[in-house]
Parts: sequence; C-alpha cells; structure tokens
Amino acid sequence: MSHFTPPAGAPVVDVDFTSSRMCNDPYPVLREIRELGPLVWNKRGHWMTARDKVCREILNRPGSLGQEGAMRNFFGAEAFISIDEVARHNALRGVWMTAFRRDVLMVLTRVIRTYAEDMLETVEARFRTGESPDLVPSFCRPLPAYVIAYMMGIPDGMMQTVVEWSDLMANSASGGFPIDYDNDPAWLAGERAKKELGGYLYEQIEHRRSHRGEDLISQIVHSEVGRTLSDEAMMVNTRQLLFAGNETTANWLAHIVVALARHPEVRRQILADPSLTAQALDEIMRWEPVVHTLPRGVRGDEVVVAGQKLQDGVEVVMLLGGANRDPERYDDPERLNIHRERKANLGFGYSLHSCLGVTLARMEALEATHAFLARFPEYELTAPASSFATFPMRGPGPIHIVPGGK
Amino acid sequence: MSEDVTPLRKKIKTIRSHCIASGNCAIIAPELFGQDDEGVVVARVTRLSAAQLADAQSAAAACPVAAIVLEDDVGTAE
Repeated sequence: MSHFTPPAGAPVVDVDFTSSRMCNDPYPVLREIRELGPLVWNKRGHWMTARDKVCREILNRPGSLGQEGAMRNFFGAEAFISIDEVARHNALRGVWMTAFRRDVLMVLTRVIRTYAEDMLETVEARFRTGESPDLVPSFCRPLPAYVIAYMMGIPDGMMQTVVEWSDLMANSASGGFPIDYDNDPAWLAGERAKKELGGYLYEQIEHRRSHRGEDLISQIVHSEVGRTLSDEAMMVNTRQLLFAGNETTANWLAHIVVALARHPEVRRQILADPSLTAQALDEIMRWEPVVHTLPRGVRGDEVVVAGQKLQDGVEVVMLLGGANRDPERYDDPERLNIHRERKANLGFGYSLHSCLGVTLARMEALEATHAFLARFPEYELTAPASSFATFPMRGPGPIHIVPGGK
Repeated sequence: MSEDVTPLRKKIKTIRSHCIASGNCAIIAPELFGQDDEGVVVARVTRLSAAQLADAQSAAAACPVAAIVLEDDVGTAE
C-alpha cells in the first residue's frame, strides 16, 4: 500500500484491477472514471486517468512523469524503455531503429506469412480430425514469438520455453497497483521467469560475440553503443525487445479473431476489400487495446497534471482502454467503426516510449488476418464470451471457433 | 513543351493526426523535422532540395506510423 492520500475534493473511487469485472468488461468502469474527472484517485493508493488528452500530456513529459515505478522495476533500469533521459534513451533505441524501419521490415513479409500459413494448416488439419483447437496457443500466441525469435536468431527449438517465460512475465502486473514487490505471487513468478530468460540471453549474447550475424542480438553486441554496455545492460535491453515483441501482438491477434467473429459485417467488408484490413485492425486496437494500464511516477514537487499538483513519487496509471474511447477524441467511441476518421490511438503508446515495433506488429496482424480469413472466411465462436486472464495486459482466450458457422 | 531533365522534386507532407510523437524523424533529420509542444511532428521545410532528399526518405521510412509522406512536387521549379 502506498502512503499517499488524495487532496480534499479529488474524485475518489476504489477499483480493483485484479477483479474479474475489470478483466472481462472494464469499459463501464473506465467510462465512469473518465467522466469523474481528468485525474481520479484510486483508494488503493495511486492516481488514474482515462482521458486521452491527459494521457498524452503525461506521456509527453518523461522527465517529470517517468518510469519510476512499475515499468522500471519490471524491465530493469538500464533497458531503454526505462530510461527517460532523451539522449541516452535514443542512443540505445537507435541500435535497432533501422531494423524496425518499414522498408527494412518488408523482407520479413514472406517469413511472417509462411509461419502464419503453416500454423493455420495444422489448425485446419486438427479440425478435420474432429478436434476443436484453441486458437490462442495454436496461432495467436506462437506467431509473434516465432517472428521475433527469428529476428533475434533464437533457434525454433527454444520457442516453447521462451513463450512460457514471456507469459509469466506478462502476468507480472496482474496482482494490482501499486505492486507489492515482496509478496505478490504474480510479480514473484514473473521475476523468476525474467531471471531464467535473462540467463538464456546472456548465453546468446556471448555466442554472438564470436558469431556475428544479421540478427537483432548481433546488432546490439556489435554496435558502437553496445560495446560500452555492461553484460547486464545488454541483456535487459535484449530481453525487453523479446518480451515487447511477444505478448502485445499475441493478444492483439486474439482480439482480432474474436472481434471479426462478433462483427461478421466487418469481416465480410475486409474479405471483399482487403485494402480495408489495416484500418480495421487499427480500429480494433483502439476499441480493444492490449495494454490497459500504463503507469508513470511523479518526479519532484512541481509536477502539475490537468491543473492538479501531484506529490513527488506518487504513481499515475493511465487507463488506455478508457482513453481510446474518449468522446472528446472519437465520435461514438463505444462503437467499432472501421470507417471512422483515422487518428492515432494510444494502443501503441505515445511520445518517447511509444512502441518501437509498431510497424512490425501491424505487418504481423495484417498477414495473420489475411491468412486466417483465407482459410476461415466464415466462422463463429463456440462460446458467446471469451475470458480474459488479466486487465493490465488484456487479451481473450481460449478461443474456439466453428468454421463455416454453426 | 520541352523535356524536363531535372529530377522530380519532392515535398514533405505530414499527417499530424497519425503521429505518435516517437521522435524518430527529429532524431534522423533534425534539420527537416521538429516536434511541437505536444510532441507532434512539424516539418521545418516543405520543398526538399536534392541534398535533403535522402534524409527525408530515411525519416519517412523510420516513422512508425507513416505520418510522413514525400509527395511529388508538381509546383513550379525554383
């Protein structure tokens, strides 16, 4: 529990991020928080905002609202996602900036498509034998893992283990905020997984020193800035890349499969005109983002957000699912509308720490969607609602479908 | 109509509503791109000289959300 208390007059609510209500359908609560004010105090000891403009204001000021708390503890202080000092951050992120350029990533299109088609071929074969495979572990979850591992030069044989570590890490924040670092079982399980993945990546880094390739690990090991880094700094940066390239996209793909089942009219529009797919996927990200909680910590006594002075050290949790349905930015925001005016939503973050891999994620989602719809142009979910494991990193699963409809 | 032998010039178009303020453009080509108070891209020049073209292309390719477009400059030559 944090020792902070809200100033008199501040709107106060009690929201349990671990409740099944927040996992399964957080939107009514997010709407309530958004309507209560630009900043709302959670009785559990931190501020929250569910407004788009306030999120952008916070994210654009990494110097005073930084990765002080949960993010830094999760990724490690030397990972560039934890570094708010712009020059240092950019020097580290710059190692991989070229690798994530649109024109450079284009060569991966065929790799992504082949992985997706191979996985779906197996899925379809299982349907033919009368099985009903869960699409999360057979498709949504492994696809981004194989792609980022391919880019990092990690052998396919390690994939299952890497996915398991990554899943445990993704679960780290599921015990609620502020995190009880000494006792929260989800956090502690994530810590163990981070340590094991870290150990494996140390070996990979060492190997690349003498076996330089084109892969992302070789790129940092043999970069100018890489040569100045400690082994630990190299590892945490590599680990952050692997993790970020894994969990978010996997959950996005799961949301896409579910959204296209529940909205057959959208699915049919995409099938008729695949040039609509990219904007449809963006709209699904707005409507059902994966990362729902983005925490920042206040630095110093002079930080004012939305006209409210905040205490040094207090955490502000941005509720991106609320911000992405803010009527100040989006007309009729609760509705999935693939034809709405295209605007950047906060699903991939904003400003200094916005997603490095957004272009890759979009390529993966596009290829995955087209490959999936080519095999399953018509399908229905077997159950009306899927469940969601956690609120902070939210994605549906298991997903079972009936090809061709019931 | 005489044949134009000079290469087609390009101009910068920014789509501000797509911008996620990653800052990539301003890192790669600070002479061509800046960010406003909210972090949103601002082009410092519109029509590109031949010497500026490569930097502008790098910045456009590095934009994670394709908020920078280089268009043919069909206006009158300088």
